[in-house]
Amino acid sequence: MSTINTTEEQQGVSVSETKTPYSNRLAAIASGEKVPSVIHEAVAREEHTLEISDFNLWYGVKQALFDIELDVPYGQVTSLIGPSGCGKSTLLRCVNRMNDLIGTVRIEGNMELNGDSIYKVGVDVIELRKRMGMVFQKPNPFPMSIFENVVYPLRIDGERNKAVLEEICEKSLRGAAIWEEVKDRLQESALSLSGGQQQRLCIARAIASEPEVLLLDEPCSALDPIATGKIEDLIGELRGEYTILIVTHNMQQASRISDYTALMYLGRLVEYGPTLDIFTKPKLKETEDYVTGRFG
Amino acid sequence: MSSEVDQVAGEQTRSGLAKPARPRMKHRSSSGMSMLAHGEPMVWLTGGALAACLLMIVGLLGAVLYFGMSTFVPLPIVQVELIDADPNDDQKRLVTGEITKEEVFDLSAESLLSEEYAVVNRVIEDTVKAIGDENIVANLPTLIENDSEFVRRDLVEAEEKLEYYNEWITTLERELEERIASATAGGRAIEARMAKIRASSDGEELEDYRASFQTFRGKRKALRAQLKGNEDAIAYFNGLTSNSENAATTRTGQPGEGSSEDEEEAETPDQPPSKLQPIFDAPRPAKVAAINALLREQAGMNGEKTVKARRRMFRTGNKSKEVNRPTFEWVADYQMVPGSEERPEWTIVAERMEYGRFYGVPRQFVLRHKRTIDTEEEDLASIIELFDMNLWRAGLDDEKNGEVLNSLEPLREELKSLRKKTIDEFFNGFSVTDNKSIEIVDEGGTVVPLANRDEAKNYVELREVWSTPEIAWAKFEQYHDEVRERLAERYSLKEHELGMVSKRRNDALKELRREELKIDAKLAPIYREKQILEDEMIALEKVGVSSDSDAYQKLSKRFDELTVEAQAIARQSVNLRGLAHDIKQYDDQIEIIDGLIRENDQLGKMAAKRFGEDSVAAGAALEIVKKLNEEKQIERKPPADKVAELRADLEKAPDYVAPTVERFFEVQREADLEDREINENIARITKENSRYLLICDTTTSPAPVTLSLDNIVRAYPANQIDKAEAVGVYGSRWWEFISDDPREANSEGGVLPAIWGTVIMTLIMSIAVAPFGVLAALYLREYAKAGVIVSVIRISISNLAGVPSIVFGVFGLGFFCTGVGSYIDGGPENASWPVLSEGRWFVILAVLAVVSCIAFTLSLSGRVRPGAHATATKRLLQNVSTFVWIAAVCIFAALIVMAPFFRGFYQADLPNPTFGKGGVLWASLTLALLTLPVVIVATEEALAAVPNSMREGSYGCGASKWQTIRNIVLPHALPGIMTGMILAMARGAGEVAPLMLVGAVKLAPELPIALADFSGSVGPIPTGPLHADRSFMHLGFHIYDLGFQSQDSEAARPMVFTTTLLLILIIAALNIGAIWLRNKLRKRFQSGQF
Ligand SMILES: Nc1ncnc2c1ncn2[C@@H]1O[C@H](COP(=O)(O)OP(=O)(O)OP(=O)(O)O)[C@@H](O)[C@H]1O
Ligand SMILES: [Mg+2]
Repeated sequence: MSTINTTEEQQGVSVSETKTPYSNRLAAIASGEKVPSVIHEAVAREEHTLEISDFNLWYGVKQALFDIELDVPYGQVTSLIGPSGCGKSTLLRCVNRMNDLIGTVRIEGNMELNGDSIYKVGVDVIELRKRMGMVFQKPNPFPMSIFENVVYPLRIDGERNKAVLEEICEKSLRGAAIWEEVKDRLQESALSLSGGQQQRLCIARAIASEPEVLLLDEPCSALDPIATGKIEDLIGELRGEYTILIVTHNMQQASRISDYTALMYLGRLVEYGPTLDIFTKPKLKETEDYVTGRFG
Repeated sequence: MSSEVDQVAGEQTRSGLAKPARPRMKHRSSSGMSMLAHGEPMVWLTGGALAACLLMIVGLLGAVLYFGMSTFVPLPIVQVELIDADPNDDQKRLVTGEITKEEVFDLSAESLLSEEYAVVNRVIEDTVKAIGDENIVANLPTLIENDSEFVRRDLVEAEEKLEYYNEWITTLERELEERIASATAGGRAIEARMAKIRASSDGEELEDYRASFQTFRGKRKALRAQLKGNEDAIAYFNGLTSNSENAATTRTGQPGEGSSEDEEEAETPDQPPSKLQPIFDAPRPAKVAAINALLREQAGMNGEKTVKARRRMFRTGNKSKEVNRPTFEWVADYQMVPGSEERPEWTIVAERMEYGRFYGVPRQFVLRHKRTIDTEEEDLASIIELFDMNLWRAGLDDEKNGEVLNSLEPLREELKSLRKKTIDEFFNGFSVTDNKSIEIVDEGGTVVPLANRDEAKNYVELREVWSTPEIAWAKFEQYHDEVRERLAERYSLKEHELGMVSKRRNDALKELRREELKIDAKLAPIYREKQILEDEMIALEKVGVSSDSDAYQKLSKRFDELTVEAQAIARQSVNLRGLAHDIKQYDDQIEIIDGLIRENDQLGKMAAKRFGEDSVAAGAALEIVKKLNEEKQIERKPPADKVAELRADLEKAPDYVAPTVERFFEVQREADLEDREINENIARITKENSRYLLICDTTTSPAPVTLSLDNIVRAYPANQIDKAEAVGVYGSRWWEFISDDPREANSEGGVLPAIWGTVIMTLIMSIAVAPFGVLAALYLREYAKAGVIVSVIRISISNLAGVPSIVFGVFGLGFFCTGVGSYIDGGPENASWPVLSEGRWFVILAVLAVVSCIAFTLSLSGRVRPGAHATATKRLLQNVSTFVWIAAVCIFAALIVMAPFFRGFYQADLPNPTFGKGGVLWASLTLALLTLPVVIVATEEALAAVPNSMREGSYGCGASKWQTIRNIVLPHALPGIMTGMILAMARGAGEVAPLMLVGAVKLAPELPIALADFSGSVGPIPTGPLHADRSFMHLGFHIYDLGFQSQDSEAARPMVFTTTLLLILIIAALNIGAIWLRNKLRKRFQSGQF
C-alpha cells in the first residue's frame, strides 16, 4: 500500500495533488476530508467537449458531489465507475440539468459544454438539453409508435415535414443498430419491443437530434449479455462521432468500451485517466483495489 | 452466514407455526392450523362479503327492473259485486277495474263493525261455519270466557310494561335532577351549561319513555274495557238463552231448539232460519265480544285473536270533471257476493288525456253530422231576427208595425220551406240499418230518433248511432287514429305556431323597452354628476365656505343646469310599452265595434233590397240599422278618445322612437292576422274531432258516460286482447313514456322533457367540470411546489367531496342564480352589487395597471437561477410578488363586478329574470362544482401514476414542461382522468337535492333544447339552439315529485319505479358513451399523434 503512495508522489503527475500523503484515501474521504482527485496528464492533452469545474451538489442539506473536476474529451468514450451511491448518476444528470426537476437540489460550480456555460443565469435549459442526448438505466420508450418515439425530439421542435422525419428516423435507427429489426414495424407500439431493443430505441431517440454529447446511465444494467454486447458494439460505433459519457458498474465493460475512466467514491472523483492506465497501472492503490474487485 | 439465513427462511415459509424440531410431523398433524396459516377462512369471509354486496346490488337492480318493467303491462279487468246493506235496493253495487295490489290483513271485530250490516253477518256466518259448532249460541259464553282469558293475559303484560317504564322514568328523573344540581353547585357556568345540554338529550329519552308509558296506559284501559264488555256479553247471552228457553216453554210447551226454529220460520217466511240470529241481533258491545270470541276460536287457540283476510286493490279510474272520486278501492273478499267475480267481455280500458283511466263497456258510438246552412237560409234567418229583436227601435206606430209584420210573413214561409227542403235532402243521405240507428237534434238541443221527426222544427244535426259493444268498438278503432292525428296537428299549431307568433309580439315589445332604457340611460350620468356636485357643496358648507362664494356659486349653477337638463329628458321618458300596449287594446275594441257596424249596414241594405226600396219594411229596416249603429257609435267613442289621448302621450317621446313604435303596431297587426288564421285552423280541427263520441256504461255512475275520441290516448278491450296485442299495448305505453310529454300531474304520459333535461344537464356539467378539474389537478400535481399550502388545498378538495349536496344547491342559488345570473341580466345594479362611479372606475383601472407592473417587476427580479440557492431577499420578493399578483387579480375582478357601464345583456326583459333564476346552465355549473373534487382527485391520481422515467425521458429530449405534459403525461393519464369523469358524471346525473334549488321544476313548458318537428308532433331528436337559461325537468326530480308530491300516490307509485329504471338506463348509457370515448381517445393518443 505504501509503495504505491510513494510512486505516485515521486511521479508527481497530478496537478491538484497536495503533498499530504494519505494512508487510506477512502477512509479519509469517508471521514469528510477534502481529498483531492488524481487526474492523469493524458486528460489535459485532449480537446474537451464538456468541462466540469469545482462542482458541488447538495440534496437538501446532504452534499452528494464534492469538488468535481472532470473534463470529458471530444469524440471519446468516458466511463464513470464507482460503488453504488457515489454520485455517478447525480453527476450525469447534472450535465443536462435533469436535477432542476428535483426541488431540493442546490449546486455550486460550473460546467461548460463546448465553451457554453451550462449553469449561467439565463441559460435556456430546453435548448441546452437539445444539445445532449440521455439514455437511462431502465429503457423508457414512450407509449407511442416506434417511429414517433424516434422523432419525438424533432416533433417537439415543430418539425412536420414527413420526409425529413422519415430520413432522420432511419438514420437514427441505423445509428442505434436496430433498423433491421424494426424497419417493418415502425408504426407498432414501442412497448412491443424487447428490453434490449427498447434500450437501443432510446439510444436512437437520444441521437436523433444529433447531440454534442451522449449521456448513458448504466444503459446495459437491465439487459442480457447478448443485448449488452449489441449496445457495447453500438457504443463502439458511435465513438468518434459523439462524445460519450457512460456510467457503468461493469469493470469489463468499462475497460472494453471506454477510452477514459473516472472512479468516484462518496461524491468525490478519486482518479481519472486513460482507461488503459486506470486498469493496468493506476496511480492509486485504491483504484487498483476497486477495478480488481477487492473492495466495493 | 447467508446460507444459514436461507435455511431459517425456508423453514419459516414451509410452515408458519411449525417448531424447528419436528416441522414435518407438525405440518401433517394440524391441517386446521395450516389452513388458518394459509388464510383459508379469509377466503370465505372475503368471498362472503363480496357475495353479500353482489346480492344487494343485483337485488336492487332486479327490484327496480321488475317493478319498472311491470308498470305498463296491461292487466285484465275484474268486476265484482259487493254485498249490499239494503236488501230492498235492487241496484247492484259493482266494482270494476284492474287489480293492482293484493294483501292479507288481520280481520278484527272492531274493523268489521265499521262495515255494513250484511257484510258483518256474512263474516259471522262464515266464521261459525269454519268453527263448525252446531250449538254456537249456547256455547258463546264459554267462548267469550276463553277470549277473556287471553285479554287478561295481555292485561298482565301491559301492567308489567307499565311498571317497567314507570321505574325507568323515576330513575331518569332523579338522575337528571342530581346532575343539574351538582353542575350548578360546582359554580362553573360552562359546566352547568354542558350539563343542561346533556340533560336535554337525556330529557328526550325521558320523553320517549313517557310516551311509551302513555301508550301502554291507553292499551290497559282498552283491555279493561274489553274485559268488562266480555263480562257484559256473557251476561247478555246467558240471559238470552234462559229467556228464549222460557219463551219457548211458555209458548209451545215444548222446550228445545227445533221449535224455536220453526217459530222464526213462521215469522219471517222469506228469510232462511238462522241459529245465529241472536248474535246478529245483539247490541253492539255484545256483538263485538261475540265476534272477537268467534274469530279467536277460528284462528285456533294459539293466542291469535284475528283471522287473516284477503283484500285486493282495484284501480277503478273514471274520474271526471264533475266527480273527483277516488280512483283506487280496496275490496275484501268477504265484502263480495260469493261467486260474483267475473271478467266482463266488453269492458275496455281507455287512457284519457285528462282524468286518467276509464273503465266501461261501450254502449254507443256516435258520429255527428252538422247540417250545412247556406247563405240564403242564413240571410233570411238574420233578417227575420233583425226585425224580431229590434222592431221597437224603428219607433213606428201600430199600423205601420202591423204592415211590417205582415210583409215579414212571406219571408218566414220562405225560410220554412227552404229549411224543410235542405233538411229533407240532408236526412235522405242517411238510412237506418240493422246495427245503426239515427237520431236528430234540433236547435234547442233536443235529441229524438229520426222516426219522431217534427216537420216544423229546425234540425241542425244528425247523429249516426251504433249501439252494440262490438260495433261501437269497431267504429272506435276505425276513427280513433285519424282523430289522434288531427289532434297532433292541433297540438303542433297551438304549441309551435302560436308560440312563434307570440314570441314575435314579445320581441317587438322588448324593442320598445330598449328604447325606453336608452332614454333612461341618458339620465343616469346626469344624476350621478348631480350627486357628486351635491356632495361637494355640502363639503364646502361644512368647511364654512359661504354660499355666496364663487366656488359655491359655480357648483350650484352647474347643479341647476343639470336639473333642467334632467327634467327635459325625463319629460321624454314615457312608458312606451304601456302606452303602445293600451293603444293596441283600444284599437282592437274599436275594430270589433266597426266590424259590427259594417255587418249591420249590410244587413239593412239586404233587407231593404228584399222588401223593395220604397216599402215600409225597407224603411223600417234602415231605421233600425241606423238606430243600432248610433248606439254602437256611442260605444265606440270612449275607446277612440282614449286612443287619441294615448297617442298624444306617445308624441312626447323623442322623435327617433316613432319608427320603433310603428313597427310594434305593424308586428301586432301581422301577428293578429296570423293568430286568427291559426286559431281558425285549430277551431276547425276541434270541431271535426268533436264529431266522434264513444258512449260507455260504467259501474261508477248510473248514467252512461260520453267520451270524446280525441281525449282518448289509447283504449283496448282488456279481457279480449291476446298476447300479441298485449305486447302491442305494452310497447306503445313505453314509447309514449319515452317520447311524450307528461299529463295528469306527471302520473301518466311520458317523460321526454325530463330525459332531455337530464341528458343536457349532465353533458353541460361534464363539459364544464372537465377543463376545470383537469387543469386544477395539473397545477397541483405538475406545477405547484409541494408544501403546506398545497397539502391544505388538497385536503380541502377531498373534503369538498363530502359536503352534502344540498349545500352546493344553496350556493348555486345564491351565487349563480341571484348573483352572476342577475349580473348577466342587468349589470351590477340588478345583482345589488355595489357600483363604482365612472371616475372612480378609471382611477381603479389605472391602479390596476400600476399594480400589474409592480407585480411583473417583482416576479422578474425574484427569479432564481435554477439549482442555485434562493437568498432570503429573493424568497421575500417571490412571496411579495405572489401577493401583488393576487391583489391585481382581485382588483381586476372588482373592476368587472362593479363596472358602471355594464347594464346587462337582458335588461329589456327585466324585471323578468333571464339568467337571474334557476336554469339548466346554473344547475349544470352547480353540479360541476359538486363533482369537481371527484375529477380533481381522480386526475391527480392518474397523473401521479405516470412514471417519472417517462417525464425524464421527455425532458431529456429537450421537451419543455408543457410539451412533456401534453405529449407524454396527459395521454398516459387520460384513461384515469376519463374514469374520474365517468364517476363524476354518474354522481352528477343522479343528484337531485341541489337541483331543486337551481332550476329543476315539476313541469317545464319548454325544453332547454328545441326538438325536431315530427309529422306534426314533437319528436325526440334535438335540433334547435340550446336555451341555457330555461328551467328544466329532471328524471331524479321527477321521481321525487311522483313519489312524494303526487296527489294520486297509488297511480304515481308504479311510475316511480319505471322512471327510476329509465334514470338508471340513461346514466348507464351516458357512462357507456363516456367509456367508448375513453377507449377511442386512448387509442388516438397512444398511437402518438400530436
Ligand atoms: N432525489 C434525491 N434526493 C436525495 N438524495 C438523493 C437523491 N438522488 C440521489 N440521492 C443520494 O445521492 C447519492 C448519490 O446517488 P446516485 O444516484 O448519484 O448514486 P449512483 O452512483 O448513481 O449509484 P448507483 O450506482 O447505485 O446508481 C446517494 O447517496 C443517494 O442516496
Ligand atoms: Mg445510478
